[in-house]
Amino acid sequence: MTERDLRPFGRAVARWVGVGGLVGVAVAAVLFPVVGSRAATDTSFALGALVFGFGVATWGGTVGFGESMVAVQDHLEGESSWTRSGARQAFAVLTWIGVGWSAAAVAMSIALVGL
Amino acid sequence: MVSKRFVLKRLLMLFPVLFGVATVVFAILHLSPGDPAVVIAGERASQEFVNQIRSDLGLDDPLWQQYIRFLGEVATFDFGQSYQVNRGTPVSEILTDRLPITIELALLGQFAGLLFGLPLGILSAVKQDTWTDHLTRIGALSGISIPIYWSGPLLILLFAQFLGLLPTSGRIGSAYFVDPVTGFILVDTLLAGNFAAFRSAVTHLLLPVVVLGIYQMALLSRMMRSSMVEVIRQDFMRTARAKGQGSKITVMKHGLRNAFIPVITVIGIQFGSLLGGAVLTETVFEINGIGTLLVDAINRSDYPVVQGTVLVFAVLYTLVNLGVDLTYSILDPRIEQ
Repeated sequence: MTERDLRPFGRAVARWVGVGGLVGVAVAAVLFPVVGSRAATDTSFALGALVFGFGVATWGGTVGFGESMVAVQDHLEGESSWTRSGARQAFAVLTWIGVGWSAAAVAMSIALVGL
Repeated sequence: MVSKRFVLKRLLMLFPVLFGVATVVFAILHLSPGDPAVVIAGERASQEFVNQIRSDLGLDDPLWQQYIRFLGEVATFDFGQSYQVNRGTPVSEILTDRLPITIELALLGQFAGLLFGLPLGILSAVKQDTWTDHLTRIGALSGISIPIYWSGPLLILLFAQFLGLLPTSGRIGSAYFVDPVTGFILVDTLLAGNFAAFRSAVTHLLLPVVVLGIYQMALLSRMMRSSMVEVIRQDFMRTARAKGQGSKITVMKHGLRNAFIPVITVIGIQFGSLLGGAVLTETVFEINGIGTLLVDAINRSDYPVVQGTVLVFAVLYTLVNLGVDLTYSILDPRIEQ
């Protein structure tokens, strides 16, 4: 990747991490008055980790096995609109959202509950 | 021949997949209701005692700290100790004992499915629209439609209760004891040279394997049929026959190899359901494999056992699919390119 390629990539990562961070803060804030600070930040972290884990696992699967999936699809003359790059991008977005979400939940946990 | 780069790339990608699965399992367990400390302490225990257990297990730390600790343990293949199922026993030890039982069952189920499913599928395709084809398709449809938790008890009722031909539960008769060497009961009995025990193990495993194999057989025969019907119509098949090659040789030599690619895909994907099916089968037939362990651990909120078991399932599933991916490129080298 050149510096020119890195900039839009960095901007996209920052955007999705930011979106995840906002969601993480929002979930913890909504739960806080109902279940208390500890449970609210823990639940927000677990939900963020769920999105992150799903994103990483499916991204890894797509990068590792995507070529074969496309080749088998071609072999079977399938008409699916599934593409390797599209799936990889979608799961990367999920991963970055999960990263932002979990990080925001950790930050809120440190701020509200302490280390 | 499969290139090293092709294999290496897929092996490297197993790490993010397993890391993601570990994270998902951790998150789901901590989102689900149930407090292991309360389960261990008992319903009538004092709050101080419950808090003490929670502190001892590290469950009073913030979740993100527990997650970091969990990842560190998983990275060193240390799944911790069981809270409840086998209290204090390392999870890796429990899994080592139980895993061969489930793998043996799943492999036998897969073998039974392949043994009957593939020939039936080929026969059905070759004899398309004859009574053989109709009968096979009806059988396959029934096999797919019948769930394990229904076929299992039904077969127990028929073969164990009414006919008294086969035992209802377990892996071997209570009169036999075989030292576990591989953990696979059929192999261990043969290694011990105890043929009476081997016969007992075969009769005990027959029903569970049939129950697991029915679904596999039905699915594979349907898949094989539709794939083979497509291949039979191809020009190269007609050319082979026109050159004077016998019909059977044409089907087996040219047809099977090409029809096998979608079937291989299904075999890989179905391995997951085979493991899931093993969970149900083990419960129905009271076999102490990893399936019953998982159910028990979930019921008792035994986090380390659930996490370890699901991760082992994930490793098995991804390895099987890696094998499937490599088989594609052997069957059709264009896939690797």
